[in-house]
Amino acid sequence: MKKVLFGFFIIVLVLTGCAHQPVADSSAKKNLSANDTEALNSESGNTEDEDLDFLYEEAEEGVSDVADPIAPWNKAMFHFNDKLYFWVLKPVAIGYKTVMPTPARKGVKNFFHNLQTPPRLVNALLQGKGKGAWSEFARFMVNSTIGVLGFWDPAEEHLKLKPCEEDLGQTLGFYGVGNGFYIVWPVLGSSTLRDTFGSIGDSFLDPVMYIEPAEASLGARSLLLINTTSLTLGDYESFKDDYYSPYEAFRNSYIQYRKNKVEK
Amino acid sequence: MTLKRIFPFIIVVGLIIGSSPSLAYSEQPMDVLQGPVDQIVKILQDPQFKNNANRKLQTKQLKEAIDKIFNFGLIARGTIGRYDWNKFTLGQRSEFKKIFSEFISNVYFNKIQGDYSDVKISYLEQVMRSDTSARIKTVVIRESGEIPIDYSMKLIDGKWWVYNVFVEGPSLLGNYRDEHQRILLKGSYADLIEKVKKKIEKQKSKK
Repeated sequence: MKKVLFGFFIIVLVLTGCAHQPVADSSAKKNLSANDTEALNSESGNTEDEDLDFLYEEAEEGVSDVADPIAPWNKAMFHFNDKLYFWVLKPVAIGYKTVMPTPARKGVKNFFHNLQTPPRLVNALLQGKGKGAWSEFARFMVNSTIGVLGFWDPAEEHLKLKPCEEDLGQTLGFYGVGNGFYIVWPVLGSSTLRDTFGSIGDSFLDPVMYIEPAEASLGARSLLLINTTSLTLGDYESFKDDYYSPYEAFRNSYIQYRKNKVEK
Repeated sequence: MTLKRIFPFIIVVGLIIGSSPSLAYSEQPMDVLQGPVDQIVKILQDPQFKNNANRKLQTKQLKEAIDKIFNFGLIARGTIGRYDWNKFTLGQRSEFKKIFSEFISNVYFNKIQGDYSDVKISYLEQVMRSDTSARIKTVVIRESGEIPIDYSMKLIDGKWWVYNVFVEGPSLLGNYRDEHQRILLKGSYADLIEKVKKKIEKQKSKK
């Protein structure tokens, strides 16, 4: 009898344990909101009572505090790039898109990406990312041969070798170099002092820069720009639609985008 | 029955009770996200909606799926700093929440209504940052390339909600906080709400 009673006792305990869940849940929530009395008090009349620290912290983390001492120049260049996009790049890219089907444009993208392996490989090494550097090396070998000069990407498709998107700006950031300040370059777009030095350094390792004669190199870079534009048509327009002041929103997004890359 | 014999049972029972709150969270945030997001993609790719006559139904279905996971009120709240929020009157707070929620849901809505015919979404990872907070990493795969998109989710009243979206690093909450902070530094609540309303007008005129 005792045993039966004890078994019953355990079953009751277990069941109440289960039934107890929502209660435990809401009491945990009460503890949470108690931490945030300031928000609670200011919220009188508002039914919301959860602790909002998580929300505020994440919002604040997403705001960049980059210096912008040359804002007038930057704004002028932003405006110039905006016009360049709508009047030149976009119409050309649309024309290009009509004659080049998506797989072909993806091939062009892959070709340039493969050609520009050296700066990625070197920067992966500079940051001690052996696995990434190896992946870049193996990708280059496989894609240049089996992938026919890099137009295809069998390395990722069949060998699951992911590219390691590193550049000198990220390497400098990795070693603690700050952004400096925000710069907008004509055609090239958003950058910072650090990333500008990075781009210049990387360009010495970029085979596209060594194409002779200089006109051919410029042509190759233009093709890359048009090809990239054709694959991202509409993105810039939609970004501009989403924010009240595109210049500042673009600046914040760029800094956050780079911060995320440096941390990776 | 002696105390000695009961003791192990007490421990076992204690463990069961102690572990029960984690059992309550057996609904994984990634699953909660995946359901509606996959549904959104399905609706977008559904051939019956190619016909313009069915557009209204599509819009309705999409809105329902979006409202299932996105807590737009929370997003609106997060875009205003605590200091600024405290300066808002109660009426302004609820007006802002309502207006900005409408704006931001339209933003999301317009984004997904782009070309989604070839889209595939893979759900990469669920990072639990606490019992009630998670980050879900996904990647949107399109023919033209891949876009990493991360979602921040919070467990509120037993339900997981999305309150932030990261697209290749920059976040929705961060970008709008940055914008609103700047507007409120120089201007007033009236300036802010006017800007949001103007954007909504623009969204409507584009439809």
